Amino acid sequence: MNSWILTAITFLPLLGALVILFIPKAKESAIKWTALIWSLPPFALSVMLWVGYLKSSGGYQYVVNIPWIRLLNINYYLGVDGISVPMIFLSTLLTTICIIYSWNIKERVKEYFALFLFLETGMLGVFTSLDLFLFYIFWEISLVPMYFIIGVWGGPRKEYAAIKFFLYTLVGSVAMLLAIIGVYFYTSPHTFSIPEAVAQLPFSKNFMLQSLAFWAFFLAFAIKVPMWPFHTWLPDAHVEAPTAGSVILAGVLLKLGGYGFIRILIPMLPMAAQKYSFMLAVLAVISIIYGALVAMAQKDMKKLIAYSSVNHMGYVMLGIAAACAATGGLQLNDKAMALNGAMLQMFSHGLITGGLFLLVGVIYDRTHTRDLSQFGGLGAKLPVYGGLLAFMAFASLGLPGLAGFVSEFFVFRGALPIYTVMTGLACIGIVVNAAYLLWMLQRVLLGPLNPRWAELPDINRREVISLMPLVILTILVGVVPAVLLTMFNGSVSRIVGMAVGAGG
Amino acid sequence: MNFSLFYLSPELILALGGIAALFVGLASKSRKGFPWPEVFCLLVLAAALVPTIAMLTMGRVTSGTSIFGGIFAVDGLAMFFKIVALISTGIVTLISTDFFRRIRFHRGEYYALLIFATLAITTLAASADLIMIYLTLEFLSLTSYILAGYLKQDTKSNEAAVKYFLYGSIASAVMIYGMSLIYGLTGTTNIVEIASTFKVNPASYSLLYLAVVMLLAGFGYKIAMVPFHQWSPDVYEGAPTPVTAFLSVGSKAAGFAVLIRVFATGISTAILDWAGLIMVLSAVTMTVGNLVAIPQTNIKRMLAYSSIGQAGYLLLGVAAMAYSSIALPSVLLYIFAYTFTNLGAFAVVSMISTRIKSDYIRDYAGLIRRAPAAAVAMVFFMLSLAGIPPTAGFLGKFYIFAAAIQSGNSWLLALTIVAIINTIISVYYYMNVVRYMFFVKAKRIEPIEQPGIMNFVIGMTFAMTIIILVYAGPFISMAHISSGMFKGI
Repeated sequence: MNSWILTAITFLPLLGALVILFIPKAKESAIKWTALIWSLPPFALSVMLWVGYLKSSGGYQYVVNIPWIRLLNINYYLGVDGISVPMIFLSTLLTTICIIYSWNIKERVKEYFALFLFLETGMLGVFTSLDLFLFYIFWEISLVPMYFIIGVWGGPRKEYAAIKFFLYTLVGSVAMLLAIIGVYFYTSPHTFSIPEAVAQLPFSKNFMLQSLAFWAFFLAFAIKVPMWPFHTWLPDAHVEAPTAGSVILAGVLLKLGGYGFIRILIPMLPMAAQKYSFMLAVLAVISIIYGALVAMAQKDMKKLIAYSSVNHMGYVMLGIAAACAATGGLQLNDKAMALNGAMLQMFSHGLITGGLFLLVGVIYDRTHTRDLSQFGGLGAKLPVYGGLLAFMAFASLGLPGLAGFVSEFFVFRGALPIYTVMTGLACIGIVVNAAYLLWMLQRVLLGPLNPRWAELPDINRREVISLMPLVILTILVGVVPAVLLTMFNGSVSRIVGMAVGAGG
Repeated sequence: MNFSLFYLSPELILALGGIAALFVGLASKSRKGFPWPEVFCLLVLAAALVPTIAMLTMGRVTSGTSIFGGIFAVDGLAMFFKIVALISTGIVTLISTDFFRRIRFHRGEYYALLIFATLAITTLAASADLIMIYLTLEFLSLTSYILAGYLKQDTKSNEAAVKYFLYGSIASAVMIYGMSLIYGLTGTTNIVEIASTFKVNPASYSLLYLAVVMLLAGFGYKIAMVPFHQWSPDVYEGAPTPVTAFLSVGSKAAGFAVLIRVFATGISTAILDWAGLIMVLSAVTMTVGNLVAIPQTNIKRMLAYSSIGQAGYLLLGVAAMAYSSIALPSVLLYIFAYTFTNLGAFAVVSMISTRIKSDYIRDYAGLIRRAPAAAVAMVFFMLSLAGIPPTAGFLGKFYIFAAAIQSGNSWLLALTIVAIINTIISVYYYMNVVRYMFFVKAKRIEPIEQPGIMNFVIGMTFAMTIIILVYAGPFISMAHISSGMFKGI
């Protein structure tokens, strides 16, 4: 099969970043166009992946497996399944959108676009790697450019936010590194290959070690997601990051955590996952309710969206927790449904929250404030902007017909039979979720117009162009979720089957 | 005897080359014109490198042998550390050419001293006899004292030399007392014979333990291990930057060479269980180094504490030697990665500091606009020192952790957790340099001159910092071959 595609997708952005480094600093327009043009082939290739992937099998395709460090059995092992293909699509799409949105960046243009492409390689590498060593390297690489994006182009407390983001995520990843080494030594023959390790079920004889490995992986992924109580880096990073940085952070980087749970934790350590699934569910529900309540209390529009991410990623985690808990038999269906819902929610959250962050950026660029009490009556003044904001907010609160609704529906439907009480409690989150988003709409769009904004121009064409793909996909996923579900389902069933076979 | 000469050829070349360097220096007094002393120094190092690599690769030392009645080992471990010493002195020479360009100094003697210091390291790496170890350690110390005080007009440089000398003489006095205790217990100074004697008649535990602690004072002084590290921040700060680079890499590697040889061959864990002691020292060393590095405002002092922290990680690997087959290779790989990374960082510091006339981290503000290539390379050196991919330092750390986990020893696992916490602490101060270079606005924005030779040094060390990870196979093999040949003794 076309095994070069994944290599090309992963490393084309890096090549683009290097090309940009050789363009003179003063030629800003050339730099922007180069960045945009280099971001398109990976996107086109990710569409090719989507079309070319044989959905019925659900296995790894487009596989490349070349020895890299023979002595340690480390391989350059890439491959994708129905879970990673949509994530790759989301990453390449959001990168292109961010580059278009960032056209008005004035400071240090060259570094900015080079870093975005470098970041894209890191994110795509995580989704394409099937070797734990490679996975870890890309996982860490995605950290460095984001540190710079927050630290250079961020808000007033950018330096604090950047190092906090870096250190927090590093705590998780070094714990994961130990777990990865552990997996290597507890497989025979020793291997870093994810599929092989999953087949061997490392630590299956030693539950103590399995638990240790579980919590080490858990720490890495839970910080990234982020789950309560590991979420405190997120508001700082989001508030200080430039708009496009927030979009990538919410749209893709948080997904790395959820992806890790589904790709590594559930299939590789099923017994520990099952044993501790209730704790996962509790943390997920706390994230849902806490995130929603704190979002309600925010006066800063960007912080509000940031906390809504804690809330929404909580649904992802509820779905994952339910999938960990299921014991097989009749619950198989629910488990598959919960996992499908978690995946769907990750994809929808990427679209919707990405869109919301862009819209916050649009208003901030014009007014230089995000203070909700300063706004009001903008709906009549900026009708197009108002319409888009209302659309995205409704998508986020789960209006039927849009992407948010189907995802949450699947999560709840899957989780309900497994964690009935927890799912019931999570419904409180839905109500609060609707409340804070509607209240935000009211404070921004309705009421009397603040005279300071009498001359405010409406959203411009470039900004609309960058938002349009998100709007269209939000409707598409909401109306025909099958486009995604057919993609997920084959691979989800594989994971479900594997995990149950070993755990039960 | 024919073979002995070949085995000894690196040392012979260095000894003769060092003497010749004095005359080359006399002949080229003028500071303009062709840089004969520098070029000659590089030629000597390269000439010594050839037979060393030949011995490692051509299998001449497959099983590990020794000459001169067992006092001079010819094995993988010795060859590995000789290669590290020769490469690092070569890089230090290149940094020196730029650093001393504007300073009046005696070039011939300086490069001769560098060669002699390298000779001391190569001999030390091969020493398999306590007397020989003591003599070569002293040889290395004496040349280092002079090098540290080479800026005669600079009071800090003078202070560095005096401090280094005072601490050094006490450490070596304690060490030789330890050596005399071991001689008293065994009646021999040869390491292999010491091991076999102890196996036949075990010595008194407390006396042997005391001797080991005393030996560690001498070795620990060279590797800047807590609590024998106090000299290093002041010396690193005061010494000329290329000499600091030499002390932090070549001299430290020499300390590890002798530490590994004495504790793996002479007093192995079968004779005295020193793993626990080394583990405690490792934990203390890395924690003190990394914590005290945080408040430093002078970049050379910061790198001094950072290199104390690095010694702590390496000691973790040394402690794992007792339990894991990949521990020794992991230590060697880490040293190799650290060599290029740390020299690269010092190359940047040397180039920038001589031009902005400041060693303060805050004066690195906005370096990305003033010297973009150096700033970007520095980011990777800092990431590598912190052990973050995609760099050589990550591979080294990964391998040391792998050794600790492979051992399955729960104390080592606990120590690994300490190492991980330290890694996170270290990221804070390494990234602080990056923060100044990239985030903080510069007071002055005129570009900093980057001479071709420094671009070459920084570019080369940067490339190695990436290549050691991306093309890791040969480097891991080298570490395994070197330690495999060592087993034969």
